[in-house]
Amino acid sequence: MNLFKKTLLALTLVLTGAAALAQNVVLYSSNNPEAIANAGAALKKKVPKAVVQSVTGGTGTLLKRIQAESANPGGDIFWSGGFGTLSAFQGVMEPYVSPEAKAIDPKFVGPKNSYIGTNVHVMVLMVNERQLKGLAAPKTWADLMKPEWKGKVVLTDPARSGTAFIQVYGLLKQFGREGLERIARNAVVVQSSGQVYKSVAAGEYAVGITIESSAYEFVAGGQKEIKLVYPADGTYLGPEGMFLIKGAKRMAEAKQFYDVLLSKDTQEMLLRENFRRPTRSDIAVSKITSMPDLASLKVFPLNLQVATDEYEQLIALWNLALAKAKQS
Amino acid sequence: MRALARWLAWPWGLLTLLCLLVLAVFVVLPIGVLTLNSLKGADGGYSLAGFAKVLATPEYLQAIINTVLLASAVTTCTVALGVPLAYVVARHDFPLKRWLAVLPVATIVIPEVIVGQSWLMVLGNNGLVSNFLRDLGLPVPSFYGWTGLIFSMTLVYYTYIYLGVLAALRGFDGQLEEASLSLGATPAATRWRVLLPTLAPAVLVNALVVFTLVVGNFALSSMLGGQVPLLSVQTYSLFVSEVGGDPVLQSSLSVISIILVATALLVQKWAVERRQVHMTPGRAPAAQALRSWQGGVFTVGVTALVALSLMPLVAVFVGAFTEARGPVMHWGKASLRSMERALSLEPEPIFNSLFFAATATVVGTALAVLVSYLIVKKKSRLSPLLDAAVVVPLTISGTVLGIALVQSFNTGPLVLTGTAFIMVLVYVVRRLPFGVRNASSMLYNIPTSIEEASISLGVTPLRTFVQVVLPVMKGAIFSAAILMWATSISELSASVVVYSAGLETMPIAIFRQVDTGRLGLASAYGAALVTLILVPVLVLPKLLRINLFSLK
Amino acid sequence: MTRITIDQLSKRFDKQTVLQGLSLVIEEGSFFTLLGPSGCGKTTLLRCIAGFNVPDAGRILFDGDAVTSVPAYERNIGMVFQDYALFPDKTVFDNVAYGLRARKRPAEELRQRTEEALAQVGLQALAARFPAQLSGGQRQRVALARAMVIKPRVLLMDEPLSNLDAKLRLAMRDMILELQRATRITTVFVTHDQEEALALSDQIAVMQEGRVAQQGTPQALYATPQWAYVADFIGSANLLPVTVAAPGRVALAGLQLDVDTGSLAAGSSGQLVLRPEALRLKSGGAQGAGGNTLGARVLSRQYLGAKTSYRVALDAGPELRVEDTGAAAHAVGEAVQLGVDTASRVVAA
Repeated sequence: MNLFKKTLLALTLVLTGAAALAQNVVLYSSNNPEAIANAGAALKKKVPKAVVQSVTGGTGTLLKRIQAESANPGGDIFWSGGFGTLSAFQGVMEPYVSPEAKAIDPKFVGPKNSYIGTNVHVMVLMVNERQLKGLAAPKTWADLMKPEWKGKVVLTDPARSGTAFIQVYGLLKQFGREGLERIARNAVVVQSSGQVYKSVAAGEYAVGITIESSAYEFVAGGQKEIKLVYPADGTYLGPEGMFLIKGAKRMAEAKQFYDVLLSKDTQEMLLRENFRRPTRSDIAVSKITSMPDLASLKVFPLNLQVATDEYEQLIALWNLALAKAKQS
Repeated sequence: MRALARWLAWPWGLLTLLCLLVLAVFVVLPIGVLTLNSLKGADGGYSLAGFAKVLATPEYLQAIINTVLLASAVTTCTVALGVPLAYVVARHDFPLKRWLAVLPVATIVIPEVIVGQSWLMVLGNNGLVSNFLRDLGLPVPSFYGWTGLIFSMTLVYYTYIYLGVLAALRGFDGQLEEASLSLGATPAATRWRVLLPTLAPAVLVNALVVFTLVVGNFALSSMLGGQVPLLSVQTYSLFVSEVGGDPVLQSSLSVISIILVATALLVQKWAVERRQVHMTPGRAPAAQALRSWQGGVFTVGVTALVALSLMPLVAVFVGAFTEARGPVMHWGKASLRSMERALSLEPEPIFNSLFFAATATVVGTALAVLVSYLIVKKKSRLSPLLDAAVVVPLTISGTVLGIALVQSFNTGPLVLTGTAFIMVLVYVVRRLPFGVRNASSMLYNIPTSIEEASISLGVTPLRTFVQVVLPVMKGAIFSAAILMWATSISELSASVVVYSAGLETMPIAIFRQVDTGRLGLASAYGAALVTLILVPVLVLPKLLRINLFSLK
Repeated sequence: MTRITIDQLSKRFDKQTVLQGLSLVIEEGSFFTLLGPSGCGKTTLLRCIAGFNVPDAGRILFDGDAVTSVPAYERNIGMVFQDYALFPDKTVFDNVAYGLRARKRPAEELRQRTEEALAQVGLQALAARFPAQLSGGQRQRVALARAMVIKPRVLLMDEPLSNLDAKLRLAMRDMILELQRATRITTVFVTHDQEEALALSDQIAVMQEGRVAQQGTPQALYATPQWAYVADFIGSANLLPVTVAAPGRVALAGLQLDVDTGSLAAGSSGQLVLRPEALRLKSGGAQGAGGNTLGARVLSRQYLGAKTSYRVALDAGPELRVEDTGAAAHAVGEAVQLGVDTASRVVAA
């Protein structure tokens, strides 16, 4: 019994001791593990002792969690969420002006410096050439509304994904309700944005409406049949940002991480490694990757603040369009 | 009162109470909390609104129906595969038959999450074989959904049926068949009327086990489920999205899952266990060698089966050393990058797994041995309660257990979420029933007289337990510990619910990587995981001279 | 050398009373046997003395000190179990030395005493073996050595010979007897085998349903049983219902026999105990030939080598078993005469 008790004591000590580690930063992130790992590596270069501990999940889930934990925050910094989504959570944000913020395009800075953009998503069509089966690859949104694309286009339920919301909202603003209905007729709707690019890559669909950085991974990874198409009639932008969590227990370390994520080195690295289009104005995207510069793309402008206000309406309209499509 | 005081002073009385307390707090209480949460009304009272909403939402209702359908389908397939296999193995000799001995080991060693990932790599996303077949122009159905689910689950669960029926066949009294034949029945009629009815309980018992395992299955359901809504996956999604809010829906779905599993187990207890027949052992008919072409067919079949069962092992190692750029696997090109990343750049999951599983193995085995000793040898009025409390974890799936624990220990007097304690707790609770079963079966065979002999020679009961009982149980203890290690380190469904920053284990890492399509890194962690399981399972029994599977 | 006093001991299991106010005295150094059929409470009593069963009422005293509340591991007893209870993972040596180790005896003393004990039972050569490698008789001897090496105050044996075959049983009986006589440890022996009881004991207590029916030396119990139960249990007996005509004389179906009527009054009924081997068998016709004889006819016959066992029917009606060592064989159906010993006892019914 003596030996048993001693072992038990030792175990308890080790377990509780393990909880207290050296300089951590707790990151709440919806990004993929590789991007997070790269960000962590970048931080380590500037602050060798830093260790990034990440909790991953969907943007919505994590924001709700931050709100639930507001009395006793478990996280220090959040990266990244769509601007539209973030604007509703300003109450849990700690405003901060980073020295690096000067290089950021002002339209990517949140109100009162509560949050700031780290990267910009561009909505693209991810095409699997092998699945085209004789059809010509679509060049515009309008192409996708043609009847021959029925059942061949996949996109995410806008209620489930911030970027999907922007996609569908953009379609509504650009093409009106009729355009929305035409897309709804052809579309297959999935529940997570991951499903879109995974299933296009798997060859289950010919076209997926997704974000540039996700689709480009397959191109960069060497899957030859995957091509990116930027809709020529105007695509939509979805800036994503980060913020310091109000009341963070490791605020100093979090600020360091914040600065690092905005630095030129890091943004270039994230562009190269994770295909995240930077928000800094001093980075030439087309020179570093085969992705086009923002200036060379036709962008259909959206007011994301208004979009957030019109959230319920959009979802309702979309569901109506889907219901109508099922009947026909 | 005095009787109570005396009972508590008796060391076993106190220990029984402590064990009961531990189980009550960490097993029974969470389920109680979960059930209460499922009954929360909108205005704070109690109502069945949660359940009503669940049944009214087509997605959830479909999930429940799909789960029952899937469980039935898989059960049928495993029986169709396992029973003939067991019959052939028990009654016939053919070349390479001995390879089949590897099957039970394969089931234990290969975690479900790796099975799912491997089949995906081979037959799914840019799958090796799918691409190959597609290049040949053959149509390849999507592996996601019913096809993949039934296929992979059958391959994972058929061993239960196979082993159960094999044991029954080996215990079968051959003279019964001879009697039937002597009375004029044909061999076929004999098999139908004499053999099958006695095998039926063994088949049914294990079929129900498979049923409950499919209902609670998480790894394969979420990785291969595709667009098919399933109960465990829906419950998990609900949990994830209800964070910070009212956990009513997730609780309702969880309770439905418990009801499904409990019903199946009850059916098993009443309908099946009553009909079990006892026969004189040792009179099984000997295995007959087969005619050449038949033997050949069986050898081919067996080889195919073993190959399919072990395929995930091979795939995981191949994938770990294949070049992967982001989500794209470049089959044929070797690279150490994934392994390097897993082992040196992001080794935290590996260390976590090692630590949690090791702790759980020590604590769980000790607890299992103590509890089984109390139940078998130190019966008292509280023993039936202890016995029942130990069985409870069997009725709940990992997902449900995880949710129950989070709901109970996220706030309030005891906060365990975010600590290593809850990870170890999850492993211990899930595996405790098996450990207790293992230890109990050995304890029944240890006569009480040797304990009394020791006491009569002047040794106190507690020291007698340590000096006399434990050494005799050594084999069972090691066996239970190894099985506990193997099953803890590969646990996913409960740990993925309770984990938080810094507590990620290998199965969770694999799961997350597969979710974002990074099969290379997933394979690297998978290779590490399988190695850490294979080594103890293969090496230790030989070193310690124990038989892992004789004490099922 | 301990004297054991059992005082008004009662023990209940659930609703069943197994021991009812039982009192006994076991003298120091004696070999005391508890004899009876299964369920009579003998094992329960033994386990009470050992300390494994806690009595509901009454006391147990070792040399005048109450041990009723002393736990088993502090009573300094040695116990031999029916299944020997050897520790399977320890060698013969370690099994025997176990009790000495528990008493923390110094190494040299431990080794010496253990080797002596093994020599006493003739197992020195097997000291390194494990129980699984031993035969039943060898295991028995290890169990015995283990219990005795610690020089206990009391040696308790729970049917230790019942799992051995007949020949081994006899050999072990000798060994136990020798050892007990040599060491004079107070020994309490439980058995259902009356032959063992007679052979080994200084005193026997015949138990019936939780009480002592009769206690005494083997000779006393055999020759002068006080109850039909005892008479039937010790040795084998034919029991004939008779009426006491006068002291020393009983009437049976018109006949009169001179026997030992003990303290039974005239006019009372009793059972006449006729041991099969004490009945003399003679061929012959009807009554006559004077003396204590009963007429009978042979019903069946079994040849047993050293003796022949007959089943006869008395002219008076009842059937008896007779054992005859004589050379003359009596045929089935033959009319015979049974000579009754005047020392034959009549007991209360």
